[in-house]
Amino acid sequence: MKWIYKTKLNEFGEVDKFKAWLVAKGYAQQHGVDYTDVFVPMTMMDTVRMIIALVAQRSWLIHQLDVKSTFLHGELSEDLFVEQRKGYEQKGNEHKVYKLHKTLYRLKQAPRAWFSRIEAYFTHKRFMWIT
Amino acid sequence: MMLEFKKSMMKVFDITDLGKIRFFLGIEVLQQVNGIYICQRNYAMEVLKRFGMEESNTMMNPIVPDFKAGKIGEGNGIDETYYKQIVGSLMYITATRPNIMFVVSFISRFMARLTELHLQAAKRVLRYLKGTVDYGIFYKKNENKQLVTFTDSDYARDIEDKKSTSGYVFMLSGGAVSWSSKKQPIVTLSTTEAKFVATAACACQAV
Repeated sequence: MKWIYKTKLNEFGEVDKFKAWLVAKGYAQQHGVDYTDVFVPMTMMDTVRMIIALVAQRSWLIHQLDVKSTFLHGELSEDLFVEQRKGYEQKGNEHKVYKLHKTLYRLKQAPRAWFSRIEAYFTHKRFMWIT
Repeated sequence: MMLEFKKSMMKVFDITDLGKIRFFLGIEVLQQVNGIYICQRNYAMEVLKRFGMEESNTMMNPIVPDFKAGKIGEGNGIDETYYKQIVGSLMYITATRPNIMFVVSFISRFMARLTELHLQAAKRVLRYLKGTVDYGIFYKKNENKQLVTFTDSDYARDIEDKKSTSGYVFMLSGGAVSWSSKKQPIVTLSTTEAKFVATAACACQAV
């Protein structure tokens, strides 16, 4: 686990905000140990356009929602541990590690876990797949 | 119903409501009274800027009619990365631009053996784009509800392996929803056979 710092500029190139971002070291994960499935279905542009065409035909409207920090919502199916952040170790407990309850950004399974989460939600709400 | 769904989503996740959709994956969506318009104007302008073509003269067509090029020829120090970046960017623009699908698929065949000729062809597409950044697809309201399909092929256009190129387009609500332009994988012996191959590929997509 480590911190990523980013300075976001606005459209005029001025400093807009400073961002600090806690991420996992996904590159240190081993397949079969720390993660197994990483497959995520992707949208086909054809499907998107098909939906837009159908919406137009029926005089409907498309609304857009954005889930904030999407990948932090994913539930983990594996037991995952991360080391303490460098420079932020707890005094006297330096050798201890954290156990993760939810996914972090840059974890290999983060996209997959998010997909499972949102899929479960949609199924619960009785949404149906278009095939 | 929409409100109910939004409320439910907000309860479960932390959500920003962006209202009526305006941008989606770099595609601009305009929902009007008589239909929906999609285009990639901003993306196209960004692409032109990235390749230093924003001040270029415009072209009326993306390729010289009946332009032919082969893979044989000496590559003389052309920046391959530059060419590949152009092709890649243009590929994404085909998401709302079926009219350049053929040219993009055509220029992407020469990535490995580049000559000045190929680069000129790629730049011509950019210059055409410059004059047509507003182009997109308009899906009309209350248009006839049928799915309309067109398919065709040329014959033995490739100067080296004499393979043909086939294409198809599916239209719904007065706008194209799915399209392709692809060199056929086999050599055909007649225009009839070439067209048959095109129809078969099209039928696959329909299913």
